[in-house]
Amino acid sequence: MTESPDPALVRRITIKLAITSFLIQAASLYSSEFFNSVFNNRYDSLGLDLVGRLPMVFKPTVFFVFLAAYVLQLAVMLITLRPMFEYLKKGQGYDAARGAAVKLPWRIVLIQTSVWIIGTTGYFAMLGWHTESGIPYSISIALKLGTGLIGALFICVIANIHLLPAKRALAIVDIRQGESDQFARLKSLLIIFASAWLFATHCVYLCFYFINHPASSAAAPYPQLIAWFLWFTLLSLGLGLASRFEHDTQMRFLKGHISRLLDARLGEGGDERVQLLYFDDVGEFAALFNRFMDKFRALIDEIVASALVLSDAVQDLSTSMKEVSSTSNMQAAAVKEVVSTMEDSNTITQSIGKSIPEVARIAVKTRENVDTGQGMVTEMAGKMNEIRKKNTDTISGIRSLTDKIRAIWEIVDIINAIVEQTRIIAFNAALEASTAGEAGKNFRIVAGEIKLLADSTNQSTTEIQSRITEIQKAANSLIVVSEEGTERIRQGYELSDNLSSIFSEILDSAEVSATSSESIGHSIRQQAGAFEQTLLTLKEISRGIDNLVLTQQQTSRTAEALNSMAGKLRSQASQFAVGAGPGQKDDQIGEGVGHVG
Amino acid sequence: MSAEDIVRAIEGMPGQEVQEESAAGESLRFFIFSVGDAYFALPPESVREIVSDLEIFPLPACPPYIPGLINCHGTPHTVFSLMVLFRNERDTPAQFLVLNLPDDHVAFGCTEAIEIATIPAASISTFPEGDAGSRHFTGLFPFSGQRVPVLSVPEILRQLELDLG
Repeated sequence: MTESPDPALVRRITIKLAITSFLIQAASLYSSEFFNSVFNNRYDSLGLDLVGRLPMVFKPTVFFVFLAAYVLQLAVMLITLRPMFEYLKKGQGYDAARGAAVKLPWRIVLIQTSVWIIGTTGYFAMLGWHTESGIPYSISIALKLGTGLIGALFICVIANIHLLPAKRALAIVDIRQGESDQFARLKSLLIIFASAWLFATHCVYLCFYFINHPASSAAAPYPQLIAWFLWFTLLSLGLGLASRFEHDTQMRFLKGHISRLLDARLGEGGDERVQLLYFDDVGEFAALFNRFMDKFRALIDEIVASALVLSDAVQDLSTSMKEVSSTSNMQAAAVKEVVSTMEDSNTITQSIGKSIPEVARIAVKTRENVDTGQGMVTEMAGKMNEIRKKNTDTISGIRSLTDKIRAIWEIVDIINAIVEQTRIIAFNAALEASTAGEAGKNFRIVAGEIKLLADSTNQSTTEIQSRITEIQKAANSLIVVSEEGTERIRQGYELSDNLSSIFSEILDSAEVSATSSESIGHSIRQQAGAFEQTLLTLKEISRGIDNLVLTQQQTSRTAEALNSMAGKLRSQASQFAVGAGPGQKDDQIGEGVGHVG
Repeated sequence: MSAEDIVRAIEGMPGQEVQEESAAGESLRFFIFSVGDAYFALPPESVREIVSDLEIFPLPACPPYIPGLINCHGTPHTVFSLMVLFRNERDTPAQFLVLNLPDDHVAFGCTEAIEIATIPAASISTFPEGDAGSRHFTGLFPFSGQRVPVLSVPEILRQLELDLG
């Protein structure tokens, strides 16, 4: 069905059919006519020699009947094969084309036998059912039927041989319902039957001939008899050989296909089924073979798919085993590391267990020291409180001093006022002395001295004021500093209180530490025991993991072997010959045909 | 300093005045006082007394430089504010210079009495003509790094008369 249209092939087949059918039909007809002329009592009585009998062989009426029969037969052949030729020319009507050749032999046989019967009967009818040779109608019709049957079979076999390229172009690989070539199945029997019929009818004819042979005629034509025998033997043998050639061609074609399937690879795009040339037993066998191949291919596909799945699974398994092996190795290393760490921890735990009594002793000592420290802190807090009270008293004293200085300042102000008044008085005295003139001279001197005294007093009071100011500033600074000191002392006192509380907590903690140290010692001893037990268990686990690693390595090697086997299975399955490329078919069939030819 | 010390000081400086006059040659005495940060001078004879801590009683319809009257020993004295007169700035005088006028009772407000100084006549210069208020001063002399104008009491009183119409 994949063949491209080939009109030239149709022309070649048509020409071959026309020529070969013509030749076979002519050979069978005229050999029969020649036989009837050679072994003819009437011609014998007329004393005709062999050359003189030739015109009796090639009668015009017989030739016209032959020609009409030939044309009719050729027309029927072409009409019968038309679906096949249409497919070859146009690539259409494949289903009809498949069965076209099946009908052809029967129609040829029917035409041949019909023509021979009609022709012989017509001939007898024209002669008033009494021929010149005197041979009865029954013997003649049997003789002609045998000749026609042999000729028809010959034409059928040769036609089938000519149709082989067309059948190959159809690429038939199965037999559908109703497609049964009974002619091909019965062909051998028909050939034997036809040969036997031909031989028997001619023997009857010869018997009739020799029985009715006139005594006046020459001696029996033994050379012609031998020639006749040889001719019909050759005719039957040729028919058998042609049939055998047809059979061999079919078998060779089939074997070639199977050989290509064996040599080809699966999945290369070729048709992995053999082709049928006939819907006979061999074709049925080929169809069954194809069905088997379909199932076989499906099986191979499943095997390949399974091999792929197996290969993938094995590869996954191998990869997983490698990962597991790697993980197991890491786990083994980790477990060994853990064992080593546990051993170190066990050593440390034992060391801790030994150190715990010392820790407990230190905790008790710490508790005692903290107790002492708490007493000292309490004492310090008392001292700080005393300092705070003293400082408060100092600040009160400084404030009292400031008040007194302020009183001094007021006194100095009074003195200043007095000095100012004295100074004014001195000026007034001097003015008065100036008014008095020379008489007030001494008075002016006294006034000047009083003014100087007032100025000096003023300077002294100014200096006193400066000192008082400085003292006041110093007192204020002292008050500020003292107040800050008081604040610091108060904070120190609070810190001392807090420190005392903390010391109390430390004391509690120290007591708890001392108690806990004893508990820790007990726990450490229990932990050391548990550590030793865990250590033994981990060593067992480490040995188990080592064994697991060995097992996994063995499994990994097995998986690799399986993977290799799966790869080989897939390769072998994919290389299994179950098909042939379409491009090879014609060439190989051609080779087969050529080889036989 | 005790009274005896003062007496001794007086007795120990008998020639001081003579020495001052001989050293100074021609010299004049001035009473120097301050009004704010400015120094003014008056002849000592023109000041009768310095008083302080007196309340000023304001007078209506007076020029601005007359803040009011003071009660000096029962006698009202017209107070002149030199700060207002010369600088047009109000002040609160702590002391008052009671002028020695035969028929008038006038006092100048001042901040502080500074000195009764003897000034060489050569160092006294006349007040530059054309300056505003130059008629209120009779001269100008240096003292303690300042140039101290000498007040002309009659001109100041005349100013009051002019202002009162």
